[in-house]
Amino acid sequence: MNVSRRKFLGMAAKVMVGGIIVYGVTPSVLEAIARDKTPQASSPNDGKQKHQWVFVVDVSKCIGCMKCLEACKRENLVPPDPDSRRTWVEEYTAGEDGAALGHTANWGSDGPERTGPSAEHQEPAGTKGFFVPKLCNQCEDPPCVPVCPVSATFQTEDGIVLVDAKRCIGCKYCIMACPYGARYLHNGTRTVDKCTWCYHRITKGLPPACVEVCPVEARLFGDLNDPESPVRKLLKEKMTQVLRPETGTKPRVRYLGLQEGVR
Amino acid sequence: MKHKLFVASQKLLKGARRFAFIGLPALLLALVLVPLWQLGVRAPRLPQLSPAKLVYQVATEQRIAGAPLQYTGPANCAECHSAQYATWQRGKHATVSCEACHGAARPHISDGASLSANPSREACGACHDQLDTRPPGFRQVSLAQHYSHSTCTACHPAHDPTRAASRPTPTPQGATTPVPTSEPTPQTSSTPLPQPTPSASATPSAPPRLGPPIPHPLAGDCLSCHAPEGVLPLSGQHSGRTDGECLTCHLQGGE
Ligand code: HEC
Ligand code: HEC
Ligand code: HEC
Ligand code: HEC
Ligand code: HEC
Ligand code: HEC
Repeated sequence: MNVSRRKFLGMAAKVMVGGIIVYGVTPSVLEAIARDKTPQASSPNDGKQKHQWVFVVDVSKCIGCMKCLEACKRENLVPPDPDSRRTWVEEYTAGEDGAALGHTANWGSDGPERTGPSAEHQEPAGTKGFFVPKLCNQCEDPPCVPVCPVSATFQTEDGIVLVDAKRCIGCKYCIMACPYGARYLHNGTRTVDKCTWCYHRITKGLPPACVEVCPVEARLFGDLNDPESPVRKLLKEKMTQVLRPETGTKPRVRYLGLQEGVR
Repeated sequence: MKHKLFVASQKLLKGARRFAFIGLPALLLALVLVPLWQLGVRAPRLPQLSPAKLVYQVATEQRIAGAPLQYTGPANCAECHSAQYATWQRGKHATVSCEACHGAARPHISDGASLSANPSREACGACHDQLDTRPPGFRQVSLAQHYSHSTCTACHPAHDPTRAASRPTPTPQGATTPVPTSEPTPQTSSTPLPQPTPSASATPSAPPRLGPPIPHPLAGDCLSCHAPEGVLPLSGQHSGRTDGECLTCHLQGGE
């Protein structure tokens, strides 16, 4: 085998250039392909503009009618048992000092506990407790995503955390990682399921099913990129809170009128 | 005789020496520059996700986004149920979506599946039953105590709960009871009297005897519940009376 120096150097150069091309360019090309498609999935109308979806829960308005649970189960084919839930409503009953004590363990799926007004209570209704609707916070830094061993759960460009039921192996690491208890194991598919803010509705410009049926506007939904969005105005005017800010997950469900002690 | 390969290797070695002077610095430069270029220009986007993953995620996103809808929104009911829609829109339940009470309507609209229209007291109680945990501003009644003998819809039509059910059609005897009249009921114009207290004009003039006080705070539309076909029909002597007159003889009061 007789390889001239010139040839050798030429080959080496080719290999080097080739390597650089493969190493440096391919990912960007693939990424570009992927990016090209992504906007179609998230916003059919406009190519570039990303959504800035936001969910607002007004605790002071919730009447605990549980229509939201009913609608969520129906809309997203969630099994009927109380442990399977994408959203739920906690009923807090105030203690002696007025602080929030505890909440129902049934995730509200049996309806609120029937604690009617008793004769000795002179206070108007509502002073004895309140309801707190809960759902996935679609955290900006979701702790549930990196723990997935098969990358079945991920964040879309618009910040919605989804689970690919075809990839999920049901190991439940993500259930453990979520500080809000927003994930559950679907007892039919044996894969993990969670609230998507009704991804199939919001990508079509419709409100999530729970928002659609809420009779008292305790649940509100909007896109901060939409200048007309009432939620945008609301967030400008009012102070909101998030659940467990100390976890640093940057939750994106904003709460109005959240009492001390609700976690 | 030297082996051909040996000759070649010698040449190569020679070449390598030259390479050390020109090629090596060039290579080193490239080795430094390429990663720098990677870092500076492309790095912010690289560490996100491996490209293969992104491609499959797009497919998953599209699959999830394409799931069928169950809840359609009230606007889709107006076309076929214009009467109910109009009544609902002007009433106190206008903030309550049709499907909150009737359930998801997609199968109803696209496949003609039937929807439930549950008039039970419990169905209304889901929202209105008095609970300690409900916000005080929200109108509630004790399901056990509030007119417990009857379904709610007998007095509160579901789509417009504070308005009369069907207006009582003119009752046989009392001539024509006109459409809900307002207080004065002036007939044939004439002298503008200073706010006439409801006249006994249309009815046989008898000394007005006070009736029992009204035990509930609801004003207006009295006949929607007290007409012959209402929940608490009036006795015969009231025939021909109109809403505007009631308060002359019945005072608000009592619990
Ligand atoms: C394409 C026309 C159409 C649309 C749109 C439609 N409906 Fe209907 N609906 C009908 C017809 C026809 C009936 C009567 C058939 C029957 O009694 O099952 C009916 C009956 C009903 C009933 C009565 C069921 C009963 O037991 O008496 C309810 C409640 C109802 N619809 C609610 C809705 C709601 C809520 C929507 C909107 C989300 C809606 N419908 C949209 C055609 C429609
Ligand atoms: C607060 C709950 C509630 C809401 C909101 C509501 N309905 Fe109803 N609807 C009922 C009940 C209860 C009945 C049964 C009435 C009865 O039996 O007297 C009913 C009856 C009906 C019927 C059967 C025919 C009739 O008038 O009795 C139709 C059709 C209907 N609703 C359509 C609608 C549509 C369309 C909307 C929204 C625009 C709507 N409803 C909103 C509770 C509701
Ligand atoms: C999904 C929840 C929901 C259901 C079910 C429901 N309502 Fe309502 N109702 C409301 C809301 C919300 C209002 C508006 C309250 C307000 O504006 O303060 C209201 C208002 C009313 C009012 C007027 C109260 C007032 O004086 O302002 C009456 C009466 C009433 N409902 C009766 C009924 C009856 C009867 C039923 C059953 C057919 C029923 N509701 C079912 C949510 C509901
Ligand atoms: C016999 C007629 C009748 C029946 C049946 C009836 N109501 Fe009422 N309801 C009234 C009258 C009259 C008022 C207004 C006076 C009052 O507050 O008692 C009223 C008031 C209300 C109010 C407003 C309360 C407030 O604080 O302003 C609500 C809510 C209500 N009813 C819901 C219901 C529900 C739910 C049912 C069925 C469980 C029902 N009603 C059954 C006659 C009736
Ligand atoms: C929503 C239905 C409804 C409307 C509207 C209504 N009422 Fe009543 N009314 C009732 C019912 C039900 C009772 C019986 C109350 C009870 O038994 O506690 C009643 C009781 C009464 C009584 C007492 C009867 C007795 O035997 O003690 C009077 C008087 C009365 N109403 C007058 C009026 C007047 C005047 C109006 C109009 C300003 C009116 N009502 C509007 C449902 C209604
Ligand atoms: C001229 C005075 C007068 C007017 C006007 C009047 N009432 Fe009466 N009402 C009475 C008297 C007197 C009684 C007691 C009847 C009895 O004890 O036999 C009575 C009784 C009632 C009762 C108790 C049930 C009954 O029939 O005995 C109701 C309910 C009632 N009135 C409602 C109304 C309503 C609603 C109106 C308006 C449409 C009205 N009244 C107008 C004098 C009046």
